[in-house]
Amino acid sequence: MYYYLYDTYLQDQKYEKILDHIKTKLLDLEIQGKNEKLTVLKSVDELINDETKKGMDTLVVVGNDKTFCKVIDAVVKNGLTLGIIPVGQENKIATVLGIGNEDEACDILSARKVVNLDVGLANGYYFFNKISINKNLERLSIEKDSIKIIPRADCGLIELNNFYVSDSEEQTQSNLMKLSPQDGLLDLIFYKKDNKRNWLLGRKKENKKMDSLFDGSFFKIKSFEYLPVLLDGYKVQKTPVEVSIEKQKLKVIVGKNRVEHII
Amino acid sequence: MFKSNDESDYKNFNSDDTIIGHSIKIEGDLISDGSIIVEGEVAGSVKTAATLRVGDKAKITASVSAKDGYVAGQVVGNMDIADKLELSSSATVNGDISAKILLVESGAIINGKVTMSGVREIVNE
Repeated sequence: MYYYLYDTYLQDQKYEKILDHIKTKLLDLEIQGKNEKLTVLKSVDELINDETKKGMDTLVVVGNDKTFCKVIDAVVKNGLTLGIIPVGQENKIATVLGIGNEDEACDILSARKVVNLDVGLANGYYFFNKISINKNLERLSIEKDSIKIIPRADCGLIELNNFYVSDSEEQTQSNLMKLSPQDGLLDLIFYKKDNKRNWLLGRKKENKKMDSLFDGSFFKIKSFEYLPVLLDGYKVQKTPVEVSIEKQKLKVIVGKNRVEHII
Repeated sequence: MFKSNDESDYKNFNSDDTIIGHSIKIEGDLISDGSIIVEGEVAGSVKTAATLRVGDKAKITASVSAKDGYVAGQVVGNMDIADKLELSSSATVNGDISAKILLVESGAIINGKVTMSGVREIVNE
């Protein structure tokens, strides 16, 4: 049973035609289901938990990367299959999964090719893309197996990736795109501070210089005081944070044009 | 022998490589199945079943064990290399070396014992 969850930004009038087209297409493909819009009144987790009890087995988010990441925890905990219809900007995850525009997305949902992907688990909360830390880095340490990694003063950003996405053509970023979300490993990346450009201004254009890289299945992020870490760009947790990989725990509907290392 | 440009090293890494740059320091026993590239500082021990590369600004205060080694920086500790070890002109090793094949550029410094396996027997006639 399909359940379609629409992100709040789609209430803008400019998306009206696209949404009507999507609904018509789903009807033609006979994969229409219940539709729900995200609101501030009810949490995503509550929505998903309630609908799962009513028999939902496939959740399709209509939105962007943020919409996709917001539902991961509830989807994995309820053992659902996840699909996406990308609408608007910031849809790198859909692109990597071989899902182009909304038309293609509906056909892909109908074809229902499902793959199992790894997810990260941070203090009991599942995340899909990454954990990032960009402040007070010299006050924390990261333990992995029998080593302790201590950032120096010129470290500008730390990311612990499960599913790496980048639209940069730069070679290092292209190599990082080969990091597989099915290998049972998380990838810990340290970036140097960019001295040529103010770190805040650099936010407009991704200008990160990779400095160090580790992979592993378990990391512990520690500090003397409670420091914030950001999961998937929206969920904040405080140190200490224990991060592990949950192998192939997320079922996702993908397109045939997905990146070659996703099987 | 070695390119000193940081960018070129990081453009061609494999997904299972471990890279230790200038922005971090490592303490403890580092073990990896993939290659290890050290451009920063490591204190402890370093063990890989593949290749170890030590950049010209890197410092390892550790015992080292690898299949192959390329050293341009500083190693304080014993090195146990299964196959080939190359030391560039800027390399300094303060410790014992064990390797099957050893290449040493002019200018490299070794303070320790060197043992090479597979040495041909010299027969006195």
